[in-house]
Amino acid sequence: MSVSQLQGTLDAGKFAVTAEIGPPRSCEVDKLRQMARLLKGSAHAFNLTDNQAANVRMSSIASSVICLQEGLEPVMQMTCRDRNRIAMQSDVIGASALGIRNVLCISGDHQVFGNHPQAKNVYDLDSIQELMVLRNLTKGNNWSGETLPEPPQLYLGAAVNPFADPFEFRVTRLGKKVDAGAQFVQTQCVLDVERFKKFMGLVVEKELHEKVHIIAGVIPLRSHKAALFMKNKVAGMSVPDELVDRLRRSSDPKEEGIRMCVEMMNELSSIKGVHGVHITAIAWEDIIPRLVEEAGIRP
Amino acid sequence: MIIAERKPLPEVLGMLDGSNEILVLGCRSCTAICLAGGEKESRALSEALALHSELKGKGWKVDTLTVERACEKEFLTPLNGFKGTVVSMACGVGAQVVQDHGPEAMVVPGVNTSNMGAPEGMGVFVEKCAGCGDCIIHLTAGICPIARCAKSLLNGPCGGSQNGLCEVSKETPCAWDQIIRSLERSGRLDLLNVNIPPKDWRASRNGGPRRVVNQEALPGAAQNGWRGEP
Amino acid sequence: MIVCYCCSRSGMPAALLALEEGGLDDVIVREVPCAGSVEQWEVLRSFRQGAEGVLIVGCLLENCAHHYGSEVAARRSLILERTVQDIGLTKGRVAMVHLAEQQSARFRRAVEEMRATIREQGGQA
Repeated sequence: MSVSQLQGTLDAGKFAVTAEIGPPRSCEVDKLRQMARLLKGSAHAFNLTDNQAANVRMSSIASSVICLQEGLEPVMQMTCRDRNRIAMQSDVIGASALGIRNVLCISGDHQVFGNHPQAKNVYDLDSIQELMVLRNLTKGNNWSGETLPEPPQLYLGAAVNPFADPFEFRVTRLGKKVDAGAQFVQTQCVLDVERFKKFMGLVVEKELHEKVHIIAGVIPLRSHKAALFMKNKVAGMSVPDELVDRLRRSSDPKEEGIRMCVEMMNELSSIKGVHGVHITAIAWEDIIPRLVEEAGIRP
Repeated sequence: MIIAERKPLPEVLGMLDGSNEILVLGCRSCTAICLAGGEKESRALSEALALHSELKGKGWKVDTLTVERACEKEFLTPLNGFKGTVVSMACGVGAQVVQDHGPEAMVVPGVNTSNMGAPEGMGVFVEKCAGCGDCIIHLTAGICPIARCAKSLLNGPCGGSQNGLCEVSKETPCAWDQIIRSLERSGRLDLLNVNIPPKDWRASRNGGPRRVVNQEALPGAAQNGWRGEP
Repeated sequence: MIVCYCCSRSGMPAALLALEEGGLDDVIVREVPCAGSVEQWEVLRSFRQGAEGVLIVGCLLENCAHHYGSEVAARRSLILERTVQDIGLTKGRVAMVHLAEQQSARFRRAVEEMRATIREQGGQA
């Protein structure tokens, strides 16, 4: 019994496509609606980030509802940085009541990165404990043990980063998330496909691919500068030099970047255990329909 | 021990308007060890305040005294009856005990109290313990993830851990990287296969200011009677 | 009046040579085992006792008889310079000089520089 289109697609063994939408910094509802209309149909579900990089934005739950209204299926994200277990359970019950089904449980970037570094963070739970608590809700109890007359219906996801250290532990950590309740995971953008293949090899060895759907992250890069930024300034990313060079040498880096992204999606879809792709095209969302079209994975 | 740092002098000067008699109170315990508020630092501040008073005609009478431990009132008898301003070079605990002990004095902080930590090398002090009240370092190779992980994670490193460093700063080691390497060395990686459930934070500061009672040491009726106390 | 804390190994010999050559009547020399042993409170006390400037004279950084005492003194002198300004005096009243025992000229130059700075700025900030 699937609670969402995303779950239905993955459980039926079909290749899933998800994409990311960054909510606006203020009440720019029209802007969000336009984005939703532009992207509708390009993916099975759309992630609405939760104060990404610790910058204040319209909440994931509100943006998810707006996307629902536009006919898109949202993936609500909930970090551990800003909410305690009380707020998390409350928000998730509310989200489910409003029709949101997919929830991604993540630790969240530390607030030093964002526009409110002076804030006190929460971190009452970590992402694995968040999964435990939310799974418990779906089974009919809140964390204090009280039964819920109408439990929320949720499809739970988590993030996995095969490019962070220590490498070997990343597979163990995936296993822990699965034990805690993760039903699907989205990976950090894959730019270093060799390292990713190594990771997936270990995943398949442990037979984790049979317990959780792995959706590989991709990102179209529009220039070698964008690639260098990812390489040097973003935590937890692995960017091979050849990739930067290929963009630098090209006479039309944007087209090259699109081509590279399509190639990557095709290569990823052939790796055992990969059941979908997750596209993050920050400040270039309008390219997403073309990307899925050219990769032949449009839902 | 408790780690503190001297407050910038202009900030301290700003607290002393209207003061007449000033006592710079040092402590020989934690703040002496972390070079913030021991005898040397207290004398330095005392000289600085006296010099400032002379230059600017403030008319302050400045003196300094360093006690063994400012947080235990038994050591504070030399301050009995003092009604002036005490610039406390002890940690926030000592400063408050001094104020409680002498409500007629005005206690101002001469240091910023930071954390519970230990010296790492000369002049470098790192945070080690968060005082969560429910210690689990037997599960994490003797390394506290509440204090030493920027996100207080209990189930392994987040995606921001790179090259053994925390995403927050290149000077901050990733506590979970350290824990994993240590467990690996001692062949106890299997400890990580068990998920640690949500923490009960009631024993920490989140449950409210704590009051710890040692039953054995509490004076009972007989003891009180003998001392002539009610 | 300039008070000079001079370490036994390098500072004192250099200072004594310079004093013999003359022209340093406003200088008071205090011997210390190592420049690094001069505490903050001592330097500040000197100002209260009438010093207009304080020089800390120690070994060359790579040659300190106590390994890193001269280095500690150098760092401490920077903090003291800041403190003295916060208290309300003008700049350049605390300085560190590194020298070898025979470098009396370097000692003299440091005193002359400090004298000039004090005169220029005329006292209180």
